[in-house]
This record gives sequence, C-alpha cells and structure tokens, in this order.
Amino acid sequence: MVKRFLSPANLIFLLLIATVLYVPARRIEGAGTHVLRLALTMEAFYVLVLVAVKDRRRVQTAGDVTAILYAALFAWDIATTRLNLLNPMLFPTPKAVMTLMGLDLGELSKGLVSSVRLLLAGYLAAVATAVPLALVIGWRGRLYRAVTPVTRVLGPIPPIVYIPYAIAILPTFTMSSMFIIFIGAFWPIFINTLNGVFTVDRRIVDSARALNVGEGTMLFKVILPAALPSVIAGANIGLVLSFILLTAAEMIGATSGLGWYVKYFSDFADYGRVIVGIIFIGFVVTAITFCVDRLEKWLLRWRG
Amino acid sequence: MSAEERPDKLVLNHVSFAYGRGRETVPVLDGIDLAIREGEFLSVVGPSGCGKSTLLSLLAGLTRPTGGTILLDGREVTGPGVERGIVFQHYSLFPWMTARANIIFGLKQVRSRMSAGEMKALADRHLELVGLGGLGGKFPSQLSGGMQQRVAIARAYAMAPDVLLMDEPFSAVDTKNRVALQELLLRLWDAGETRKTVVFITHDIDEAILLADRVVVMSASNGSILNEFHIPFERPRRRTAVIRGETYVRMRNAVVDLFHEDEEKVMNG
Repeated sequence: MVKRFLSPANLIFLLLIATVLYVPARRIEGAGTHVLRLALTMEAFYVLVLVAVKDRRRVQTAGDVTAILYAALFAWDIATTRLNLLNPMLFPTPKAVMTLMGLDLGELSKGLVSSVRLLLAGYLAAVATAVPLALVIGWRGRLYRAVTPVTRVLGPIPPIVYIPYAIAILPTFTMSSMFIIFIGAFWPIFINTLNGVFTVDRRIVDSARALNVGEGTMLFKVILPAALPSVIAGANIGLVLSFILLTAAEMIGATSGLGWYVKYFSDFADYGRVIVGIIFIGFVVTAITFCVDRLEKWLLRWRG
Repeated sequence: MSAEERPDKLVLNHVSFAYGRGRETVPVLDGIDLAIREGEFLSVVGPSGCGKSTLLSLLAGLTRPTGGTILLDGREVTGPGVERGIVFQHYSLFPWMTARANIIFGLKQVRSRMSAGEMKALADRHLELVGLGGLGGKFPSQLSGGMQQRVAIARAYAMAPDVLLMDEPFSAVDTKNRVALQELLLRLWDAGETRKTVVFITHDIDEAILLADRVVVMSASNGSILNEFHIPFERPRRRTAVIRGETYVRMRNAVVDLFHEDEEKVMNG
C-alpha cells in the first residue's frame, strides 16, 4: 500500500507544490493560491484512487494520467508565473485563466446551452433521417446500386465548404448552422449504415425469413440491430464532425455559443478567455464522449 | 396408424436447382423425387457439396427450385411459412436477443394475439424443456454452441410447426454435447401427441441412422439420390442398445459402401 504512493505523479506533485511555495513569482498577477488549490484538489482524487481502487493496472493508469496533468500545470506555471519566459499577453498565467473561468462560468453555461441546442438539433435530425433511409436503400439491391455512386461523390465533400453558402441561403444563423451540422453528420452515418446493411450476414437474414417476418420487422428488428455496430461507428464519426462544424459555424456567424466565445475574445486579444473557452470546450466534449461511450457499450452488450 | 397409412406431408416432384442463368449454369440438384410422410423422421446424408443443404433451403421456401415442384400438404411451396420450423447450423438465433427474447420473437410471428406475459411463460417453459431453465436472460454469445442449438430447438418447438427442417444442426457441436442434443431431439420428437415431420440434414452417418425412420443418401457428384434405407429400430430408441446391435452395424456398412462406390465413380469420371 505504501509503495503505491511512491509514484511519478506524487513526485511531480511535490515538485509542483515546492515551486509554488518557494519559487517567487516574477509575474505578480500569477501569484496566489489558485495553482496550489487546484493541485491539492487533484491530489485528493488521486489519493482516493490509490486507497480505494484494487486493480493495480487501473491505479497505475490513473497515476500516469495525473502525472501528465501535473507536469503540464508545472511547466505552464514555471514558464509564466515563476520565470516569465513567455509573452504575458499571449500566455496568461494559470491563476489568471482559473480566475477568468470562475468569472465567466455563467456566460460559458449560456454558451453551452446554445451550442448543445444547435448540435442536438442538427445531429439528431441526421440520425433520424440517415438511418432509416440507409436501411431501406441498403436492403433494396437496385436502390443500393443506384445510390452508391452518388454517395461516393457527395460523401467526401468536406462539409465545412457548405458554411458560407448555407449562411447565404438560409434566413437565420441558427438554421444555417443546424443545416451544416446536419449535412456533416448525415454522410458518415448514412454511408456506414448502408455498408452495414449491405454486409449483414446472409444466414441471419435467412433465419429471419424462415420465421416468415414482415418487411417492417425485417428492417427494424433484424437488419437494424444486425447492422448496429456499423451504424454506431458512423454515428461516432458524425458526432466528431458535428463538434467541429458547430464551433466553426459559431466562429463565423454566431452571437452566442462556445465557438463564438473563443472567437469574440480573440478579436479583443483577450487570450486568457480564449484559453478558458478552449479548456471548457475540452471538458464538454469529453463529457459527451463519455456518455456516448456508455450508451454504445450498452447497445452492443450482446457481443461476446 | 402405421407409417404406410399416413398421408404424404412433403412431396418433391422432379425438383432441380442450378446456379446461374443461360449457358453458365451449375447444377446442384437434378430431378429429385421424394415423398415424406406425415410424422416421419427423414435423414438426408451426403458428402459436403452434394446439395443437401440446398434441398433443405428449397423445402424451407428460402430458395425456389429451377425445375419441378414441392408440395406441402398438397399445396405448392412458394416461400417460407411458420408451419415449417427451421434449425440451422449457425445463426438460428439472433445474437442481439436473449435466449428468451429469441423464442418470443418467434412466437410473435405465429401467435400475434397472445399476451406478452403468456409468451414469456411459454418461452420459459420451452427453455425448461430443453434443459436451459433459468438461462433465458443470457445472450447467445454467453451460451455454448450446444446450448445455442438447444434454444433454437426450443424456439422451433414453441412455435409448434408441423414440419421441422434441420440443416446440420449438431455439426458444429463437440461430440459429447452432440450426443446429448441427439437424445434431446429424440425425446422431444417422441413426447408429442402427434409427431412432427422432420427432415434432418447431416453428413454424420451414425447420426442419420440413429435418429431417422428413413435415411436418404445423396450422391457426391450429380445432385441426385443414390439410395434410401428404412431404419427398423423400435421407438423410443435407446442409443446404447441400438449401436451395439448387429442390424445397426449392417446398415451402417451398407451406407458406407454406397458412399465409396459413388466416390469411385466420381474419381473415374
């Protein structure tokens, strides 16, 4: 148990604490207990893992991840607050960023709500149209052969090029960004589902036919679950593209949202807030990915 | 009612099947004539590639013959139907459904008016029947190959078809479990008030003789029936008693000899 505490993470933790306490700040706006408190909070979680988690492998991984985070924080604090090696305008201190994060949490939450609304509307519309369409088309040989060459041409167009045109033809920014997210998510979901349907094991189809199932049952109770791994692979790519397109669209034409937040403050050279926005987006994307991952595991729990 | 008095359940009139069209056809079955009586257990044996699985697919209505007709109760077979239950070697079960859900899915296709609770009870009763009581919540990937085939048999029986079509159902199962599955099938088949008509495809001669009333042997080369054997053993059959008897050895040798003769003919063109 004691040996567990002798990890690289704890070594860097001590180093970090020592610098914060004993190396004087050259940039006075970076002085204070923010970094110390953040490090202590992280350490509290890490100690909890060290004490409570049994699996040695997982403890090790948690330790290594913590070590990387400490190292990044350490390098950042040393380069800015302690030694002032970097341009103060472009590279704010950890304390400054943390303070701004606290101040702007309300603004960021509002941006989050606005962004998530756009994302969900565009993305869910893409799932709701791409999956049934691909199911029907993939199931009908003739339609599949007709549609495949078309998707080969339209699919690979980088959806980002639609942004200016979408903004021009659609009346509001909300509509154009939903449309762009929709297009971006649609193709990967559609193409993957199509391939999934087309490559469903013949024997599964025969089993269903032997049970004399109707057309609707065949499509939604047999083909869809059989193709689900492909559908989910497509949905993942679609989600990643949606994030990219959402922020890109917000940076171009929005008056709210997380992408807008970053772009707006970079126009004022407020790089502290730019970093706040980037870190916040990182947290949001991680949280969404985590939930999606869980959902996927549950949906595919039948696979051995 | 003795076997001879029972009416024909399935009749194949000069049934042929070939892949491809025009000049480039590959014949698989060539002019098969066969009548299967109601309540008869028929085994079809033959080496791989002899067309026996195609034959089953035709009986199931999954494939249409390119020549001849197949009659079920006097009516031509034009597609699959729930009066014919099928057990395949692989993927009889849907991997994303639990054992119970697989059976219920089958039940829904035949008894749309049954309530969900009744279906669940019926599914569980059939799982019990094949020795898998309490495993209804498992996915196929969590069951052994033998257990998966038990679930497939349970589903086929729950759907209460007149005809049971089985395409090498025990071929992918290890020997010990195969024996258990054969006995389970015999027990279920004997237990019903009216015996189901069974067509059982296999490449295992012992399995064919042990289970069936009649064994049809198919040729390796030309998609036709070489010969058939009536299996005289009393039912219910006791495996150990049967396989030690003189008759069994004689029948087995007769089938093996037939195989060898056929093979030599193929080798010599």
